[in-house]
Amino acid sequence: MCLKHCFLTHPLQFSLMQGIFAWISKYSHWLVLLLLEGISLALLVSFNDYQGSVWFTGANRVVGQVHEWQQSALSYLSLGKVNKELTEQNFLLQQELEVLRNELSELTHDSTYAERALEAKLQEVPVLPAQLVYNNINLRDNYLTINRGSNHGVKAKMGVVSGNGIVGIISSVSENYSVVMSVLNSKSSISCRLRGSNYFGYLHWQGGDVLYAQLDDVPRHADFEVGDSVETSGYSNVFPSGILVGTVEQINDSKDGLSYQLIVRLVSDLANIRDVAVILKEDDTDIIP
Amino acid sequence: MIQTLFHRLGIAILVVLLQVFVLNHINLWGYAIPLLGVMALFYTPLSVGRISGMLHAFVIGIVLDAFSNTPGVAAGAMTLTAFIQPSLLMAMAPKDALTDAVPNKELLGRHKYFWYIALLMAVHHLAYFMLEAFTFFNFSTLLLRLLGSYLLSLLLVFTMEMLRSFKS
Repeated sequence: MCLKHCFLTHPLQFSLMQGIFAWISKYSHWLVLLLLEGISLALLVSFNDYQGSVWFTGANRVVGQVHEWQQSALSYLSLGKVNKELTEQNFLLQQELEVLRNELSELTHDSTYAERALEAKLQEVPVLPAQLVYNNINLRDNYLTINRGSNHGVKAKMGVVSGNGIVGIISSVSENYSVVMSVLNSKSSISCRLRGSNYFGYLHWQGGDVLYAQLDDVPRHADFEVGDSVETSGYSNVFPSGILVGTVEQINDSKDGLSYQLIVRLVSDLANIRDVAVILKEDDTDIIP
Repeated sequence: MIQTLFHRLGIAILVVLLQVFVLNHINLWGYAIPLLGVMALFYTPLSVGRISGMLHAFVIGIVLDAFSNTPGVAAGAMTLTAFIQPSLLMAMAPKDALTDAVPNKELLGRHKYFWYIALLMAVHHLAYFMLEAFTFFNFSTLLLRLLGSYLLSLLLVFTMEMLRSFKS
């Protein structure tokens, strides 16, 4: 009381100040609610940009470490299955390599040239092996965490692939962990084409079944059928061209009727992957994300 | 008071561990995901106060978000639920109840306790999925995900409540 009498002598000033204090203390819980919701929305919006804050995500060191422990504890449980899949894949790849090598040497009539061409092609795309420490397919906007970061040369907007297809694009990077925007994310848009033709469209995912995505903006005059393969186009330099994405499952008209919308069955089962590779690219001159 | 604080902290840690290590990996038919972070807010007595309740909820939300790569979504939903919780409890608790009584089946009665939990979870799930669908609106999918997840979470919460009452 003494303080009030000393400092606030003017009666009008006194009642005004008192009014403001009374108002604040009466509605303080509303102010706190607005403040906290404001912070939440700011976090949400800033994360929606590509290079959002890494602090509140799995790229945070503590969170990344905890995920890594959990992943390493659980990974032994699925080793048998992973091994079997790798063996099968290896076998298929060796067969494919054999066939392609034969064809190439037949075409060029020079087996050393074929070897050199293959090596040159492989060196064009430097990749960095990584492991998923956190995988999520539950949400409409899914993000994954991998155990490689800026210390290993990872940068935002690099592509991430698994043994049998694309996984997503790096969205934010800390020293030892990175967050990947999954293909299963409504904000993901990846330029793809139909294998063997130059008709291309954008791969999107709108929630629901994790095995199916959609290819939008495929032109009306494009020539294809159900079962055709869909691969990355290489128009952006996030992914090199020719990585298998999936197969055409169903052909729909787009909403405006001007193009086709294809339902694509993805080849990589994103619920069950652990080992991935980051495609390290040197320049940042891409135009299409 | 101190005992209540430790009790609430313990529940919060348990709930976060459960959500991060088990429930975040569950997804039924692409539509139902269990969200039990909100359980940490059920047992807050009135004496804690709305503001510190909201701060408590916000911090739990931020931790859940960090582990699930969903910044802001759980934090916003938890804060809103903690804002509603004292009003709901005040309306449902008997008039002569102590302000530091922990809300449970004995305090509210079986019937009211069910509605107390169901309503809090409804607020939380609504806020969560609205925030998650922030920039995009696919109404039928949103509704399916909301309903599916709500029913799944409710089922899990009541199973745990039942197990708890068997034990004690």
